[in-house]
Order: sequence, then structure tokens, then C-alpha cells
Amino acid sequence: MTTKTWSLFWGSNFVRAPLQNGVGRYVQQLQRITFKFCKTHGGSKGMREYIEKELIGFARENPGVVVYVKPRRHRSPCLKAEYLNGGEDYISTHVNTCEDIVKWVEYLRGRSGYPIERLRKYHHTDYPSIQGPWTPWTHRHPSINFKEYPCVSCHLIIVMVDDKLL
Amino acid sequence: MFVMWFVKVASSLMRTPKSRTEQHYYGRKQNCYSVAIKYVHRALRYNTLARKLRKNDARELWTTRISAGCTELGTKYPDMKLMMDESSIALDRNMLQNLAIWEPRSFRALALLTKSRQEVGLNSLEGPSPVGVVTRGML
Repeated sequence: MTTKTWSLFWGSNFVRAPLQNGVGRYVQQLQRITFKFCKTHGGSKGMREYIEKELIGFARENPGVVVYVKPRRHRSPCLKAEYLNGGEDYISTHVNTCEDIVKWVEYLRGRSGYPIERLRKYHHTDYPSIQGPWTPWTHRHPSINFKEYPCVSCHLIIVMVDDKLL
Repeated sequence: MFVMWFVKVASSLMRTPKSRTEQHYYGRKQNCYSVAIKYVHRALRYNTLARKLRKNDARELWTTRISAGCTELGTKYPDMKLMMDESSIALDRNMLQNLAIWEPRSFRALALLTKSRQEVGLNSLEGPSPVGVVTRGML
């Protein structure tokens, strides 16, 4: 793949495991995979080899994945993967050997459908704080909640609680 | 009839497939190879230089946050560093700023420890041991 710099244009995101996938059970995110190739052109040779040797094994091992094979004349070979969340991925396998295609298919099999984005942090937690995050009133004394008002008629001092600082 | 496909335009000389680096550039920088390649090289150069700058920026941000937390609690960050060196508390800037934000009471404990070190000295036998400091005989 060509080099790519991370830029603000492509956006960035945090690490996520949507629906806690993998935390409990793991659901394979790959929905369908399409193998497009030409029956005669030399660039599809690796793809044709893969379809003859490896494809049926892959389909048996991944019963949740729908495999489409599209022989199209005069087209370069490619893989198209579609994921449960609607994400897609396209990989051109022109003049790729059978081993290369095995590796690409394995790469597509393990992906979630989310786009490749710069990760802001390599960790994530739903509960970042145990003591409770800092507020402007964390280190203030609770006596600021109280104010003494003089009461002329009953000769008492009434203490009012300002409950916004709870 | 004006026939468009005879015209050889500079933009047709974009030799590489859309190398994604210049995909969001403006005008000829996106479509013409000899113009784009200069800006792509510059972007890649900035990318390598920025790796160090990012670390510097993060460190500066962390220091600002820790100093702010210390000031709120009545101490200073250099004093806290001294206290931590003496007590061999090995918390780096990243962890300290996380404590200050997410575990404010732990950070407050460190600030109190700093204050006691300044007032009495942690190992001194002169006065009573500072209030609210649990050493378990380790300091």
C-alpha cells in the first residue's frame, strides 16, 4: 500500500469495541466477500489458483461469510469485502500470487467494517474514574454551601443550604 | 464539434494512482504530478518531524495541567517533584495529570505530602508526624 500521512482530513477516532464484541462472545464482522477475476488474463493467475485450491477451505471454515465468485472478462482481479456495519473494502489483486491472496483474504476476514483512522489513544475505558472526576468543587470545603441570614422577628439565625454544590 | 480526448493535459500526467496523501489538496496540487510531488514530499517530511514535536507538546500540556492542579491545592509542581524524588514515588507526568483529572483525591494526597515535606520534613523527628499522612514506616 502507498504511504499515507495522517491528516485532519481523514479524521481520527478512539479505540472501540462496539457491542462489546470480543469481550464476551466474538461475532465475525465480515458479511460477504467477492472474488472478481478474468478466466484468461495473466494478471488473474494467482486468483484462479486461489479459487481452485484455497477458496472452498475458506468457505467451509467461515460459514457466516457469503462468498461470491465473479468471472468477468478483461477485468483485473480484485477482492471486495462488505461488513456487518455497512463498511466496505476493496483490494486489487492484480498480478498477485496465490499466497498473497491468502494473506489479503485473512486480513479482510479479521477486520471490523470501520474505516482505518488515526487512533488518538491506544487504550479505552468506559470508567476512567474511580474517585469521581475533578469538578471545581472537589477540593472546596462543604461549608461554602452554607450562608447565615439574620432573622429579625424570631431572633434566630437561619442557615440556608445552597444545594447546587452537591 | 470540439473533441476533448485529443487534448493532452498536464493533469493526465498524474502517474501514480491517487496516492492518498494529496487527495485533499487544492487545485493542481491534487491533479498534476509535478506540482503535487513537491507538496507530498513536504507533507511526509513534516510527518517525520512532527513525531518529536507531538511528544514535546504532550509533555508541555501535562506540565500545565499538573501545575494548575498544584496551584489549586496550594503547592507548586517543582516542590512536588522534589518530594517525589525523595520518597521515590515514580509517577511520570502522564500519570500525574491523569490523577489530577480523574483521581483528584489521590492527587490531593500527593499535594499534602509536598506541603508536609516543606513544613516539617518527612523524616524529621522534631515535630509530630504530619496529619493525614500514612507512611507505614516506609519513609
